[in-house]
Amino acid sequence: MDIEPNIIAFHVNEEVKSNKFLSSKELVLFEDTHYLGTGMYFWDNKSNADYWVEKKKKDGVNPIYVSKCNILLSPPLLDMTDKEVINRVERFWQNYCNKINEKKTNQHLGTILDVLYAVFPEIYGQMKVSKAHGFYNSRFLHSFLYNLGKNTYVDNSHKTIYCVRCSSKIVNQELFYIKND
Amino acid sequence: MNDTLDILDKALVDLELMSSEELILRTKKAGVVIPKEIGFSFYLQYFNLDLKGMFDSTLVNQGNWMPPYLVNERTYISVSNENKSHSKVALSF
Repeated sequence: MDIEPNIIAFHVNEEVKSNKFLSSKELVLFEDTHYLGTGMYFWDNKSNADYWVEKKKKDGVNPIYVSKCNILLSPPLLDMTDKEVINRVERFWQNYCNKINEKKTNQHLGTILDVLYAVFPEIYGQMKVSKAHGFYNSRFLHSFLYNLGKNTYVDNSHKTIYCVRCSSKIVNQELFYIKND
Repeated sequence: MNDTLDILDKALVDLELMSSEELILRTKKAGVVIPKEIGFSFYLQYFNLDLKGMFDSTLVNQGNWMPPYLVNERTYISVSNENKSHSKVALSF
């Protein structure tokens, strides 16, 4: 039996949007510019989801729904943790801008990816899931790892992010927990 | 064999074969307008801010700042000094 590669992922949002996602897999799209562009964003572990719950709480969201699902990772996957993928996206963006004589090349990554998805849907549209390591403030580095200093090269202040653009890549969505104030 | 790299490699070849006119037409058809470049002056203009009036002008001139995280009513910027200590400043609209 073939098993499609997948990960368990978590999404944090308000009640109505979460319910639509849970009942019909309607993606909760976020028009991001700093990370991977427009899509539904997921964390790959509960602690990072919990961190986002706290952030939503500060934003006044109540109740906060944490959904859990599997994201299917069969290729093609726009893996922006892979140097070879980044090299090609960079070259494509630069070549595209050169050919249309576009000088404003220094854009947020999310903006660049959204432009490429819109102008080249037959290419980038094939990659319905993208992945990145988000840079967060080094204050997120766990004190245990910080205190180990040079005794470890492990860093948990970078968080793995998945961005999904098509609901066909989501399965087994379920409510994980609700945070009520 | 990596499907993603194959697709991206083929895309680079296809891009080379496309004319500038074709690409410009594609961009227009997609309704894409490439925004202003990010940068210090962009944010000053975008948020209509006089940062030099808000902060120590030395810090601003050094450019030790980070762009706003979220473009909404909770947008903030972060300014750091030479010692890398950060001050987070909320912006209101």
